Amino acid sequence: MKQYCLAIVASLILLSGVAFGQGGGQLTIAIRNADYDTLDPHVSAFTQSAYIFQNIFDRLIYLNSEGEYEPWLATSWTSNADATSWVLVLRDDVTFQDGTAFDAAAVKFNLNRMTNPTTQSKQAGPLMGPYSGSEVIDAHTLKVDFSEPNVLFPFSLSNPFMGMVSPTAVEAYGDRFTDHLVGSGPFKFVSEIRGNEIVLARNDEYSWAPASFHTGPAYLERVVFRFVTEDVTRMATLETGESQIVDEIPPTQVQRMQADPRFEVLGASKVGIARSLFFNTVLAPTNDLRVRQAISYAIDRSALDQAVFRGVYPMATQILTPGVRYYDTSLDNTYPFDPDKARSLLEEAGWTVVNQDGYRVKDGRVLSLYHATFEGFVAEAPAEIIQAQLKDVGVRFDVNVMSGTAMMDGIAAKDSSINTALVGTYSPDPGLILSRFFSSSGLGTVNYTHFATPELDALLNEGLSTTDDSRRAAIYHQISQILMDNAVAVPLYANVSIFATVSSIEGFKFDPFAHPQLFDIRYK
Amino acid sequence: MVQFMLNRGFAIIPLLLGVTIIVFLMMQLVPGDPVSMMLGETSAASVSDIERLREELGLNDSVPVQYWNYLSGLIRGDLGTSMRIRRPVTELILDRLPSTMALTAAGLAIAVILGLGLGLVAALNHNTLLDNLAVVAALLGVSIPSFWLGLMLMQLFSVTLNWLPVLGSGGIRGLILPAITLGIWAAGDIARLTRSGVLEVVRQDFVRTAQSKGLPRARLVRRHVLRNALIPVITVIGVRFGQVLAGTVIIETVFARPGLGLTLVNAIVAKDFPLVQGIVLFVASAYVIANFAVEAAYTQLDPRIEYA
Repeated sequence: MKQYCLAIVASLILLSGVAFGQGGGQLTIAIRNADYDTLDPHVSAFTQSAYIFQNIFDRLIYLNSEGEYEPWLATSWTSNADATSWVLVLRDDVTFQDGTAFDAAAVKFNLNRMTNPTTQSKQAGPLMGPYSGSEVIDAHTLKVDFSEPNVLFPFSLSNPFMGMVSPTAVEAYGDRFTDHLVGSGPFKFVSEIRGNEIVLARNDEYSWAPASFHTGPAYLERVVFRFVTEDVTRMATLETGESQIVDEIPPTQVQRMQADPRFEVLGASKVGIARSLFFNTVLAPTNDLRVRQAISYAIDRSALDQAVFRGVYPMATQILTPGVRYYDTSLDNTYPFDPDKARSLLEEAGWTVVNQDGYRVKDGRVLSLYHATFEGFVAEAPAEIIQAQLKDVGVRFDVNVMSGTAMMDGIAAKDSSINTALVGTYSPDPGLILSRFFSSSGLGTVNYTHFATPELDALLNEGLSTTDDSRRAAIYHQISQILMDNAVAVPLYANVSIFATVSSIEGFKFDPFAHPQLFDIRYK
Repeated sequence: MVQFMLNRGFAIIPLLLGVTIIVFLMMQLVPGDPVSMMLGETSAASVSDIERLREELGLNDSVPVQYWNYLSGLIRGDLGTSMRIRRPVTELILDRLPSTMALTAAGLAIAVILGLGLGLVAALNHNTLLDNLAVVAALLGVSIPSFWLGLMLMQLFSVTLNWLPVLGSGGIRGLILPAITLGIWAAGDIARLTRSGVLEVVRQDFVRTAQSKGLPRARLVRRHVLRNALIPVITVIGVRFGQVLAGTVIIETVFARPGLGLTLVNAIVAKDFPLVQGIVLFVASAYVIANFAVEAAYTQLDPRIEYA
């Protein structure tokens, strides 16, 4: 009897050894943000949803970590001179997970679905821009038309929300498609317990990964996403072996995890608009350019880096973070740390008297800023340090912590009483995000700085309609220059997703959207 | 009795109506707009997309109109559709209910066993070291924040000893730590009430009589003391049921259990009004029904109580 038990135990150990050898096994990822909306890419608004569904749905184009386009389901994409019409040539060897052929008609179905108002698309539809329709030329060639130039079409197509869904499955399941997700991706949808667990299994037929990845199907057999909101619990799952990858490591834990040989720490920098102190440029005293410039000079990023970011978060000296397309290093040194210059600018602006608390006063008013920030260590801790740095030059900085939406609604309002707010967003191409934040059409909603000029509007529009890449580079240089000259925001740092993995896996990497890529992961 | 049940049944309706109004007004106070929450940080949506969504969700109507739309759906038995998840609220609640009920039931069972046990031991060893220890333990149980207790238990039993899983949804094994955390928190009150109830009863004449006629101690405690001491305890268990159900909000977050509590937290963050309203209504109803059941149970436990 005893021997029998031993035999069972031994074979179990052997079996588990086999299961965790190279090219196989299960991987569990513990994720903090359980607040995803839907796993239908065309409906979803959230990157935390894309995080998961990008494994089920392939896109036509892949944006690699160098920011270059790679063929994926499309082998080529070419436009006419003014980018109002694009021709996509598709792979002919791809099938959806339900056996449906992937062809031009399927892509047409997808593009129409994204833009159909009944889909209520929040990312894919808007990313399609001025789409007016598409035409099947042959089984694997599609012509896509736009009512206005759409230079960013390849960029849009590389976005995780542009995943190709199986037309057969959408038609068969209708509203219930989210229970039967079918794409052409490396993993198939198995089950979902909302907000708790999502299980995917390998698509064994897969052989059309972009060039950045290995050929053939994924190594892992099963992937389980577990949502674990509580930081301590999430970290504990890694220690007990209940997960192999954990996301959103608190910055305070990074050094401990780095020192532990059982784990590895990886950071995915979110490129785009840096997390910055956005100035309200219409509210006193930040409506005065000299005050804004003075504050820009008064902030010492190296102190922030040492105390809070510890080299894990890249510091930003421009509105755009390094790594964004057309990033121009020549603007890096626009506002170096220079407290004397800050003081003289403030004096110039008339803030000459200093009261007994050390704050500058003009016409009986203290030079005081109402700062709004959302919750969290990397939002609140820098604010406290900036408070001390600004006090040094005589500026009072009142830190107010609130929810992210309250902060954004607050500073966006026309009659806002907020002077500065911590805002940032990400996108590997600067076109759409800059247009959203700094155009006059966003005044009162998403133009948090309330800064807009006809010149800037014209440049932002031109940036979205010019096909010439060097011309676009010049435009975004000019836009960055205008934003920096007007000191509309003090850039602080690029947001980072910090992951920890067990040391026994390899091949874990990120795309420019800072999404984890699971396809190349295997056990060592 | 039937009349009593009917009266109580009708009294629930204005109560729940009140709950809907309060939750509705409170959700208006939460800052942030549900549509900008739906769109997320990196949305490419334009201003007109945002306007269209607001219109579709009925958010451009005045607050009373929005409330009336909600209420008229409710009367037809429709709890509405979650704005964030795009599923009927009823379906989402029913989906999550088994997990939360399992945790509530297990937590309450542990609370009752622990509470009664501790209370009895304390009372029967009145003014001894054992009594004092039990009183201190009960006090600790009430005072220790449950999220902290949960994390400590996890650190000990999962990370250090590796006996139990961290994540709370792996069948019975996954239920143990969350249920103990919840149970310890709820046990304190039950223990203290049991203790004082038993102490009061053992001083009474009929107990002395039973004792003098030579009834074995175990039987005496079971048949005479406990039965009389339990009435206030049952009341507190009824009240505790609601609190334990509400306590799952914290425990489910700590142990990442897929239940109503976690769903509620996420819904509040997302300003997903129909879902918040649905879950709160559900929990409020459960609370009311539990108290109702307790009142009905009195008549069974104590023949002196009668409802006309």
